[in-house]
Amino acid sequence: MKIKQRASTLSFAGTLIACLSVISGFALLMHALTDSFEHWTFEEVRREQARQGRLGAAALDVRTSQNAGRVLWPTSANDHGVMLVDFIYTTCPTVCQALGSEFSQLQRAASEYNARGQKAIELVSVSLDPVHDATTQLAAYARLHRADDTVWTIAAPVSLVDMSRNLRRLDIVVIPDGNGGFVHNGSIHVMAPEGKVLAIYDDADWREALAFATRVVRSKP
Amino acid sequence: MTQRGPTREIVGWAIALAPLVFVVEPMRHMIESRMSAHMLLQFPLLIASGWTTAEVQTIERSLWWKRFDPINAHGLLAITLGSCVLALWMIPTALDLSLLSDPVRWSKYASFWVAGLLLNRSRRQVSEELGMFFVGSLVWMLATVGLIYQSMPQRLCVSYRLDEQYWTGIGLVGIACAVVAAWLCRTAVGHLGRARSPP
Repeated sequence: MKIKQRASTLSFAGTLIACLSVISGFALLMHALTDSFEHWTFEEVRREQARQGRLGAAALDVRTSQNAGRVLWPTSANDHGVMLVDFIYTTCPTVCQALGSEFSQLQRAASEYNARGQKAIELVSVSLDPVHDATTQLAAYARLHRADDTVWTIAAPVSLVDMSRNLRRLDIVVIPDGNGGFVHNGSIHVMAPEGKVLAIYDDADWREALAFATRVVRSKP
Repeated sequence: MTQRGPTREIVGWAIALAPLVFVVEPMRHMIESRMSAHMLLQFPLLIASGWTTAEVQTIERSLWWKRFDPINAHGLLAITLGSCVLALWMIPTALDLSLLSDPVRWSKYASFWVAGLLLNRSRRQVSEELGMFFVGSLVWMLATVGLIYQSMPQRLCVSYRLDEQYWTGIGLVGIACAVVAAWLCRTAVGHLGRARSPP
C-alpha cells in the first residue's frame, strides 16, 4: 500500500515537473517569437527588426521609367542621402494608385527639402510585377503621378530571381488579391543607400516617414 | 487499430495517414494558401491523425508509453502540451512563419500530431473536471481569436487577405460553439447512461 502511494506521489511530482518544463518552453518560444511579448504579427516583428537595423536588401538591377539601367542597394547615386522606397505594380487599381498620389505629395516635400541642402532624399518605387511593367507602363505611371525623375525613380527589377530574393530578405510577402492583382505587406521603407532598412511606415504616415528621413539625413556627418 | 469494425478501421487509417497529403506540394499549397482551410481543416486533421494513430496496436503497445505514462498523471501533461500547441499556432506570427520557413512548418505538423496522440492516450485518465477545464480554455481561446480575426480592420497575417481573416474568424467561433455543444451532449449522454444503469 505504502509502495503504491509512494509511486503515485512520485508520478505526480514527475508530472508537475514535466508540465512546468512544457510551460517554460512554451513561454520561451513565445518570448522569442513575439519580441518579448510585444509584437504579435509578422509585420510588427519586421518593423521592429527594421528599427533595430536588422533588415536589409541585396543588390538589385532595375530598369527605370526612363529606360535606364541602375543598381539599387548599394547605390552611389545618393550615397549621402536616404531613400523612401515603396513597392507597386502599375496595373493596380487601388492601393498603388493611392500610394502613387501620396508619393506625389512626398515628391513635392522632398524636392523642397533637397533644394535647401546638398544631401538628398530620393523616392524609389519598385515594381513587383516586372513581367507586365515594361518601360512603357512605368513611364505611363510616372506621367500619371507627375514623377520628377530627379527626385522619384520608378523602376522594375531586371531579374525575377533577384527580385524574389530581395523580397524574401525584406520579408515582403506578395499574395494574389483574388481579382487578378496582388496584396503585399510593407508600405514606405526608409532605406540607407547601402540597402539597410531604417524604418517602415504605413502609406498614410508618409509625413512621419519624411520627417524621419530628414532627421537621418541631418544626422549624417 | 484496436477492436473496431472494418469500416471504422479503414476510416481510422485514412485519418491517420491523411497528413501525408501535405508532402505533396500542390495539395499543401491548396490547403495552406487559404487561411480558413489552413486553420479550420489542416489543424483539426493533424490532431485527428495523431489521435487516430494512438489507437494503432503497435503504437498503443509501444514501450515508450512506460516512460510517458508516469509523468502524465491524470492526463495533465497531455492537456498542458495540447493547450500550448493550440495557443502557439493561433498567433499570427507563428502562422505566417509556418508558411515561410520549412522547419517551422514541420514543427507545426509534428506538434499538432503529437498533441492529438497524447490527448487520445490520456483521455481515460482525465477527470471530468479537468476535461471541462481543458475544453473551457480551448473554447475561450478559439472564440477570442475568432472574434479578434473578425474585428481587426487590418491584416494580421501577411500571407492572407483581410476577407479570408474575417471568414476564418467566423469559422473559429463556429468551431468553439460546436465544441461546447459536443461536450454538453457527451456529458448529458454520460449522465443519462449512469442514471439508467442498475445500482
